[in-house]
This record gives sequence, C-alpha cells and structure tokens, in this order.
Amino acid sequence: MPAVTPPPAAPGPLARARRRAASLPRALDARLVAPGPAWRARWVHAGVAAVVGLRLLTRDWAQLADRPPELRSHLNLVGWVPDLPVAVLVGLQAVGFVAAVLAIGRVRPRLAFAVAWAAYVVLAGLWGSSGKFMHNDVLTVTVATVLLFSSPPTRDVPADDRSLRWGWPPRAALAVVGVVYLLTGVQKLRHSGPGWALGDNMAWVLRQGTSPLGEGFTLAVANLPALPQLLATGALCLELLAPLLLLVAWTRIPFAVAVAVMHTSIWACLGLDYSAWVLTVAAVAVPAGLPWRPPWSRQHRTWQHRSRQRPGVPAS
Amino acid sequence: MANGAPEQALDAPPRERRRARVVTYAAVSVLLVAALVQVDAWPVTAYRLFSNARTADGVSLTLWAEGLDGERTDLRPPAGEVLGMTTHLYRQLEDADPAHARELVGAWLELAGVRPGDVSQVVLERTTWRMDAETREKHETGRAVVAVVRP
Repeated sequence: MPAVTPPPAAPGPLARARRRAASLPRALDARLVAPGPAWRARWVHAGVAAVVGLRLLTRDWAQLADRPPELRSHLNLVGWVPDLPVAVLVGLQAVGFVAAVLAIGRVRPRLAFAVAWAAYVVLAGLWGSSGKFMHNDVLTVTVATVLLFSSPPTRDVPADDRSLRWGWPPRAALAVVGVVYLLTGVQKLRHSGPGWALGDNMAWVLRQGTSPLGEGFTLAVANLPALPQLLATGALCLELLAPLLLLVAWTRIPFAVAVAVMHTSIWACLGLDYSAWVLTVAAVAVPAGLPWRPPWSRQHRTWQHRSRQRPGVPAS
Repeated sequence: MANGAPEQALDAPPRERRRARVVTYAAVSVLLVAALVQVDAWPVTAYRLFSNARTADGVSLTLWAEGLDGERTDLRPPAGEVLGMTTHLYRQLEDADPAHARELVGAWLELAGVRPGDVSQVVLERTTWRMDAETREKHETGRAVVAVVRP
C-alpha cells in the first residue's frame, strides 16, 4: 500500500492570533487607502471647520494684549509670533471665523480651511503661552492639521461618489483621535500605575478641584464610596480602548457619546472646559460611524458631475 | 477603517495613496514620539493629563511684595486662562538671573497695580499643605522662601 501523508495539522489558536496580529498593519493600511464616500469626507471637513470657527468666535482673544511680554513663554511652536495688538488679534479672529464659515459652505474649501486653521493655531498658541501647557485646543489643532493635507469634495462632487481621495481623510482623523486618547490613558499608567484608577487619586482630584456647580457637589462625589474609583476606571478604560472603539464602525458613535459624558463630568466636577475635544470627536466619529448617507446630506449638482464624466452627454 | 470590508483603491492615483500614508503615519509618529520622549511644545504634547496621582498633600507657590511700610501685597494675577496661568512662571524666579527676575517681578507688580518704587522686596514662598478629606481645609505643613527679588 502506498504511504499516505497525513494532512497538515490545523494551526492552533495561538498561531492564528499571531498570524492575525502580523497581518494587522497591512490590513490597517489597506483600510486607510480604501475608497470612501464623498459625503463623509465633506461632513468631517465641515465639522472640524465648524469647531475651529466656534472656538475662534467664542473666546475673547483681545485678553492676550493684556499680558505683559515678560510673562509669555516662547517654548512652543508659535514662540516666533510677536505679541500682537488688540486690532490684529480681533482681525485674525474675524478672518479665521469667516474662513471657517466659507469652508463649511464649501467656497474654496481647502484654502478657506487653511486660513481658518492658521488663524486658530496662532491665537490658540498665544493663548497657551502663559506658562502652563493648555491642552484644550490641541486635539482640534492636530486633527485639523491632518485635514489640511486633504482635498475636500467641492460642490460639484456627488455625495455618493467613492474615491480614495474622500476615504483617507476621515480615517486619518480617526487614527489621530484614537492615538491621542490612547496616549492620555497610557501616560496615566506610565506615571501612576493602576493606582491612578483604583486608589484614592480621583477622590483627591475632586476634592482639590473647583466645580462650577458648587463646592458641595464635588465633595459629595469625592466622598461617596467607590464612585471616584468607578469614574476613574471608566475614564481610563475609555482612553485605552479608544483605538479599538474607533476602528469598529458601529462603536464610533457610542465612543463620541462616552467622550461627551466623560468631559461633561470633568467640567461639572472640576470646571475644566474640554468642549473642543467633545466637538472634535463628534465631528470625526459621528460621520464615520453612520452606516449610510443621512437623507439630509444633499446631492449637489449631480447632473454636472455626470455630464463631465461622460463627454458628449448634454448637460441639460 | 471604512464601514464594511475595505475595497481596492484601484481608481486612486499613486500620489493620493502616498499622501494618505505620509500624512497619517507622520501624524501618528509625531504623537507617539512626543509621548515617548515627553515633549511639551504646543501643540505637540506628551498628553500627560492628570497623569500624576493626587494625594492629600500638595504644594503652593505664593508671590508677595513687601512695601516700604512693611505691608504685604499678594501679587497673584487676575484669574483667567491668560493672566491667571502666568503663576506657572513663578518657579522661573528660582533660577533666573537677577535682571530677568527683576523683569518678571516688574510685570507681576504692574498687573497688581503696585509701583516698583513702593516695594522693598518681592518674595516667592513655597508652602506645603495637607488637605482634610471632609472639610477640604488645607493645613500648612511647611513654608520656605524660594526667592527674593529687589525690584
């Protein structure tokens, strides 16, 4: 009888996991450069432009002129910008805001977005040059910097048009948001260990903070048994799981909601305004989490686009 | 990270694909490197948000001016994110050369509406304290003069 070679043994779960992990970078790269719909790129671009516009509009940037030049730290990327008088500060605010509105309205969107970004970076950078590193605007600035290199769909591109050009900017923005939240969690573990969440840390953070809702509120939360630990553990888990939650389409919107809850609780307990982070996450994660184009996302001049694609077809 | 399975980007010009990769991987790399080497040069940051565990113990710095009549004036600038945050520059007085220290102190005196000519010295003090968990009262556990500047 001829010898029968036994079939190769099926790989075990460890080998399968190892193989899957080895192919992860390639799979992520393939996802990054996969085509995406124009409406999603448009929404993310317009959403981040809206956050930039809102930040420019709602701050009294003229306060910067009251800071004596000696009390400005130049150890940042806008350290080269001179101290600006009130007129220039307000002018930058106005130009940046108008540019953000134009970017939302898709009037020369790429140029308009770049102008809004530049005004925002200069003003927010000067705002955070008083000696303490201000994190309030860094997420918006970082996400907007990535989008600066993308070409948003113009008005004549149909909402359902699919291309790599529209696919990668929302995914790049998701990657940045995921890594930023992951790092905030990793740094807590790196510098304080699991005790950051499981020990008395959060109770003391709450006691030493100043709540806009009154001293009693923070003290009550801090002194409730186990609640500070639960809050800290929830925050830490959300931060560490951010890349995973943003990788999967159906968990992106719940992630944006969880981020809103976390930062709202930080505001309620400590009075710290991270609204720009909440809005930026929403601007990126909500359109990226929608499984289909929302009905109110209009088709723009589809006839014009189609006629250009098929020369010879009258544009009437 | 698209919804559903990734599709082949056959329609994409290679330049667009390259741009997608360069921008995304560069942004992620900058974030990771800054966190690894602990860089904080706005807007690049290590993202150390509340990363140090808090305890009942804390430290405060106070800057006060002593008038020619011996009266003390607290030089804490007005609250707010622009002027209020300049208190984080107090610690520069520890190592600043005399000329720079006088410049810094002159600026805080100006914000407090105090004429430098009316001041004999400006003192930076470090106070250590322990907070009561029930009342949030801070009980002083130590006090030391960190720097003295004559404006």
